[in-house]
Amino acid sequence: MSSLFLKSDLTKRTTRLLVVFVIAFALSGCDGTEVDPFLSTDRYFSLYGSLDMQLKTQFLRVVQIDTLFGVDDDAPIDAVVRSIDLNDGVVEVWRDSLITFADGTHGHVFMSDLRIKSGHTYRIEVERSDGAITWAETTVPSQPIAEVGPPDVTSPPESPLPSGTQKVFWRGLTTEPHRVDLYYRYRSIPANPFIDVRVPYSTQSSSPNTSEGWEITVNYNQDRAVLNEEIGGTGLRLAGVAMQVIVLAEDWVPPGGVWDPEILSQPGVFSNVTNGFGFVGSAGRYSAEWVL
Amino acid sequence: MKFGLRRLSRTSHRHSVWTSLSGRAGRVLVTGAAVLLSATGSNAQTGATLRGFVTDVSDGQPLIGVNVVLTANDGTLFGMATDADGFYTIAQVPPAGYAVRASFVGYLPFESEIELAAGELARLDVRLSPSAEVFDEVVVEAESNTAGAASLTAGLQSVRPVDIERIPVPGVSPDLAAYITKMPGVISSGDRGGQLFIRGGTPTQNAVFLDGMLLYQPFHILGFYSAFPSEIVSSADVYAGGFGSEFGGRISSVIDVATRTGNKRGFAGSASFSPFMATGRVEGPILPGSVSFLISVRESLVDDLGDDLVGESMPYTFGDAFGKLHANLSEGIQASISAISTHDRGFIVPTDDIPPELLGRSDQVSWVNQAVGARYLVLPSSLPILAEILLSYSRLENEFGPEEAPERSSKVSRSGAAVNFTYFMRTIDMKFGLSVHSITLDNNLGGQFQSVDDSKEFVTEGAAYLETDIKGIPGVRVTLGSRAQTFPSVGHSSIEPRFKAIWQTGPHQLSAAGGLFTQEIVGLNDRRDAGDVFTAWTVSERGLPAPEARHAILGYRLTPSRHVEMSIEGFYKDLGDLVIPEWTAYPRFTTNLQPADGTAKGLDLRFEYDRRPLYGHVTYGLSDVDYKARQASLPVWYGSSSVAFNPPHDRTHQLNVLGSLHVSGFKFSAQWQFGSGLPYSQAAGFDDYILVSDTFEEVDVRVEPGQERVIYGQPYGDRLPDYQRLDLSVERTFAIGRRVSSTFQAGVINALDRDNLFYLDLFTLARVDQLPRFPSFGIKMEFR
Repeated sequence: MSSLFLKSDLTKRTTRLLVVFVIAFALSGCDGTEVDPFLSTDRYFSLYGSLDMQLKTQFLRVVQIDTLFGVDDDAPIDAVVRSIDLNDGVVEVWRDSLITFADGTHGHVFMSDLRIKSGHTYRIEVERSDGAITWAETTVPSQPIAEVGPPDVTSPPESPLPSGTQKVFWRGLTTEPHRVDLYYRYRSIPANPFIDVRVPYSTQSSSPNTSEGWEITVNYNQDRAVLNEEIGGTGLRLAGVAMQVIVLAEDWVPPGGVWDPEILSQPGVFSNVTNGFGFVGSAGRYSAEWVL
Repeated sequence: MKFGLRRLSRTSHRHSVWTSLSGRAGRVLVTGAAVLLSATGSNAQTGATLRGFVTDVSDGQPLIGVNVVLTANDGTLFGMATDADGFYTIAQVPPAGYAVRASFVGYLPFESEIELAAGELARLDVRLSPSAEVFDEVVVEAESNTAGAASLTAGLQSVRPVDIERIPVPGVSPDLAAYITKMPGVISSGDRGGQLFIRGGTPTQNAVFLDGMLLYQPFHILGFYSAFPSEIVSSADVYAGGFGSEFGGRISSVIDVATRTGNKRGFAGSASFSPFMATGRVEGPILPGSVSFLISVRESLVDDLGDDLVGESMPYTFGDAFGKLHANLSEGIQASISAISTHDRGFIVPTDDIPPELLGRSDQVSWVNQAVGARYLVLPSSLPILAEILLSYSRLENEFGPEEAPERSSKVSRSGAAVNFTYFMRTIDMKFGLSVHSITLDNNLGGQFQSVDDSKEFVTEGAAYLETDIKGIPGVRVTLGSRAQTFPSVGHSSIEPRFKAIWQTGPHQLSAAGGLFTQEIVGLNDRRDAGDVFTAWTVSERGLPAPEARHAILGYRLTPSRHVEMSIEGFYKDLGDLVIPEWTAYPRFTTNLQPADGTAKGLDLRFEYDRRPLYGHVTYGLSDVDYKARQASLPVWYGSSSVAFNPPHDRTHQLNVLGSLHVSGFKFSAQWQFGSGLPYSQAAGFDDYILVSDTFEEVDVRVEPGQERVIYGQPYGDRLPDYQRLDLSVERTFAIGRRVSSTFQAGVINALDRDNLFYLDLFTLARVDQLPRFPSFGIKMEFR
């Protein structure tokens, strides 16, 4: 009898325990299960573009950072773009345009007739209506001074296919130029007075002469093959020679020195944009001309 | 009182081993075997050995864990517990007269006397009769008592059908998966997906064997079920780490399932029905007393019936079929043939939740396992050896994408043979074995995994192991082993030392295990796949080291009474040369691979109470898994050569509470699971990316549309919400005559209807939760 009583008592106690157990866990199961997959961030826009001294109109692609994937960017964008020349304080407000790309998608490209000045630093700001600002700064490389050395040539003046060499020293150019082109200018008939032949020069063949500048050696002998192919037998006469160097802004260098799209596409890699992503660069184009 | 502890590991004659061993590894093993055999040979001249099989007299079923004890006139005890075949050996005892006793819970003890002469190899097969009475059981070896929720020894937990049947599952088809997923240290992909992460290891780092056959993906698409219903399981050894030398080819864990043999005395069977599945089993003698068969078939119904019960689509179909023939060919020779086939198909992310234009793909996944194996067990009459020969063939076919035109497929097959020997001596048991397998890997990945092209590979795997079980000191057992394996065609070879030590004194047990583990055949997943269900199997990259792990385990177990048991075990896994998907900002469905290292460490706590009418257990797992990725671009991206993160299966806290109560013939069960949030990668958003290259003149933003990009934050830098689920069930069995019974069950899964997140698609913002509140019922008819 007593064992039966004990068994019954045990059953009651365990039943009570189970009930408490169920209620406790029923209550604990009501807490939140929501999840926000997006970080709260102070990144608002991605900016892409370059300020180019050669262009009369500058362009800037502005992409709003969104939490919706695959949404076409054809709606009006909540953004005001302005450039500030930090050297002289001139502020330009850029105008928006909605571009339809070849693949049918859309994008907002802002443009401005801003004329880029050598050595100036520009701040490009993109502001949302709530005051959130994304910006990038870029400094246009300063104008170097070209010092054209005396030609060491054996061909007669105005010969269409000169031979020999000549050094050009770009004083103030302390970084490797992005691109070097040599232009041979030929006189033609009056209606079409000049014909220009461009010969690209490898920047690798250049070497800094001193810490004050960059020396490039013009090799007329080497260029003869290109020139002969372009104007050989036409009887044209050489009017002059010009060299153009394109110099990129100092920060236009990929981390690690490798242009690997897989790496550079990672957000934050190779970016000079604050409160956003992307890259806004600038380039200077500088020329020197002479006659042989 | 002296105890001579003898026990053959229940898994020792299953699996593995070798033929084409590389020179150094082969010499080490052969030399070691020769030294040990010669050193112990003298014992064999003087001692006597008693051995045999213990079976259930009612159905001929081998009984596992039966304590067989010899008592000498001076009171000295020698004993051993039976293994998965019901086999025992008490080796090299002094020649004398002994009282023999075999006892097991739920059976009448067997008692007899025997006279053993010097050098004699005596055989005594024992048949035990079931009994409801409780008799004293002499436990000769604590390790034999490894069944039960808190019974953990050196990373090993043995699971018996009675353990499985305690876990409430929808329907009346208890399943090993439902048990394993409640173990501390085991993280599942949830109610769907069928993926298990064990103590920091990924699903493809776990080996699962069924009667010696390797099954690649045996867990069904709904997390309650696997290829192992309790009705076919005799025992399952779950090695969460530190497994012995007989196992290889995986770096995390081993689940070694042994199936029942069919009833050799009479026909028996069962059939069940529930909204989740229908099952059927039939077994019986072909030649009464010597040859039997067992057939089990299950097929899901949830695809047809589940929708109406829960009000949402349940697009899952799965099933399995198992068959086994077992024969006692003659005294000391047994043979069996097992075959299994499983199939799974479903939408991990139900497409009705996601607009097709945003989905852009079909998340349908399917896989099929097929395996067949033969096992030959020999007990030579003149040698104290147990020999086992295994032949097996298994294959997995895994597809991702629409059924009619899958985007990717991966096929892997493995066939081969293994021989295992156990040599019994006075203070040492020695196990050794050889195996050779041929593996075919056929991947058609449709441009996925750029580091692994669409390919077909043929690989030969050879392995050998030698393991010594040292039992010279009372209460202490030390196992030292070494495994050598080689993959000649890919130039990978390894030698892997292993150890295990157990010290038992009274109710206390201390255990430790460790070793080196390597894995040449690896499974690759695409992290964008929900639940990482699609797996491509391939050979680890040529010229690079294969993934490897070093395990260390230290545990303590206390059994203060026969009703209470508790254990605590700590583990540490040092993971090297892992292969994980590379991070990319492009929202594409392909992925590169990157190397990584890692560690997994943690602590398991278990408590079990078992005294009618109440059963309960509480298990808690504390875990910390850290990976260190070594993607080549990390120095540029993060400014350092590696990035540390917690992988998406790192669950810090895991708690499981189960209580069941028998009242008036009813069994009420309640189970609550808690898991802290898993890591995931948050994003800042999406944008278009334009490469501003060195040829800046080509960067015309008026022409270049850019490429869609996802702006991820720190990899796996945040945690998903906690997981909690409460399951309730009630069950009652009615006897209908002497041989027929029916069981009714009703229950509810996720009784609180908690929205446990399964998958959140960052790109579509579609959220898929685990199963909602799911009422279920089931009926089962059984005859015997």
